Amino acid sequence: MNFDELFDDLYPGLHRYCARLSADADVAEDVAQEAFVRLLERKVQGEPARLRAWLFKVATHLIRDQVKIRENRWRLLEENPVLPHAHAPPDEVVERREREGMARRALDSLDERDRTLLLMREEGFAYREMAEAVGVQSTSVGTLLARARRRFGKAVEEIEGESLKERIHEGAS
Amino acid sequence: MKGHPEEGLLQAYLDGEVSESEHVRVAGHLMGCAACNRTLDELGGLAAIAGSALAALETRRPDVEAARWRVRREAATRRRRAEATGWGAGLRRRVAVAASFFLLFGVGVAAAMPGSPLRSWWDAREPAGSPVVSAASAPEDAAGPTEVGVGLELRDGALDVAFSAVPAGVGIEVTLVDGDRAAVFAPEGAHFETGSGRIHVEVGTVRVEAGSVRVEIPRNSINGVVRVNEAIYLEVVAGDLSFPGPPPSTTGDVIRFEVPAAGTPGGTDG
Ligand SMILES: [Zn+2]
Repeated sequence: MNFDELFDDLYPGLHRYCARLSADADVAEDVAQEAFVRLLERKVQGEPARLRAWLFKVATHLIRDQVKIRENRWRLLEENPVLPHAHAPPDEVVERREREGMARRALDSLDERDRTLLLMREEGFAYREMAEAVGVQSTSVGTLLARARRRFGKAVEEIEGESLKERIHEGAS
Repeated sequence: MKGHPEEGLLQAYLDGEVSESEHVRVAGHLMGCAACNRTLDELGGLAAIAGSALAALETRRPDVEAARWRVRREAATRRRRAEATGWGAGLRRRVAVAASFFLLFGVGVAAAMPGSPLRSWWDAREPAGSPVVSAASAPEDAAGPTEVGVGLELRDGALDVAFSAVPAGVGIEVTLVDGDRAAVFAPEGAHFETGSGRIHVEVGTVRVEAGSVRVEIPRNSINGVVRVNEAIYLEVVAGDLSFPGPPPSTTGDVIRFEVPAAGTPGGTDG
């Protein structure tokens, strides 16, 4: 497999992972591309599966740094929220955004290691590769993953409950 | 197996991440333990919840082709930069690199490259041949609604950016970018003055949010300065960077300065 084939094969997944982990489309693009640049720069060789794990690990570390850089920008955007479009989006779009917002909030409530483990498992990585990306022993990944999923599940439940309450409240008023 | 297997082992069992002997042991235990079966069910349920919740996180579909190009180009630039040694070689190579960039990435292509807040409004600039400089409000989703950006094309690779009346404590962020255009972002209300290869920004009394005074300079700039309150903060000589002013902190391609208090070099005016 040459570089172009490898890139076309792995980039979309890496980009998705970065977008989910960083919650920032610009960071996702920058980081996913930077990981590939480093792959070329350092002439990393190996099977596609190994290269894939390498890329995800590098991207995970880059996001850790990038997120700090962007924190200010996020704060700015939060303080100056982009105004919604004048025309109301259709219900299904609203609902989808709501679901996405809830998932995002639940994910953001976790610490970085939990988030990484959750998202890497979602991309189909083995415990060994996840362990390497977050810097723990392979043998503790099962415990950490179970804990992360439990925290995430609890957060989803709470956030869904809140939103339900809000809706009932809105309906009553 | 003495007692119940730990939750982590059950999780690994569920994920097919146990050795054959462990698998046999856990399976054997599960045959006669209702409690562990409940835990296993719960772990399966949590995995399903995580899967469906995470699937709701939509992501923008990437332009793979453009990304691949960008990666190849960036890797080539860095290779050349690493190869270039000494002044003369560095300069010659940089000129060559800059020239080839211009050919490859004419107007429009570079602007279409992702990763720059400029990309969505470069297209709206005057066509080539008209005044070198243009100012536009950055789009809201890219840089926050209270920012103004000015773009600048380098003249023979040279660039002169000056800020004045910048209050102490303000951070100034310089980012090295691809392409051959420089840009300056400052809070709305700042006064911009532009000329050939030159931008002067009077920040003055406008409210300055952290991170909103930003400079993007092409990594292939040959010569240039970024001055703040009349002190040189960053100097590019023959493509090499130096920082004669307050010491910056650097993360990747981002160089950050903080304007020191009055009385110190580069500090607040007056
Ligand atoms: Zn048991």
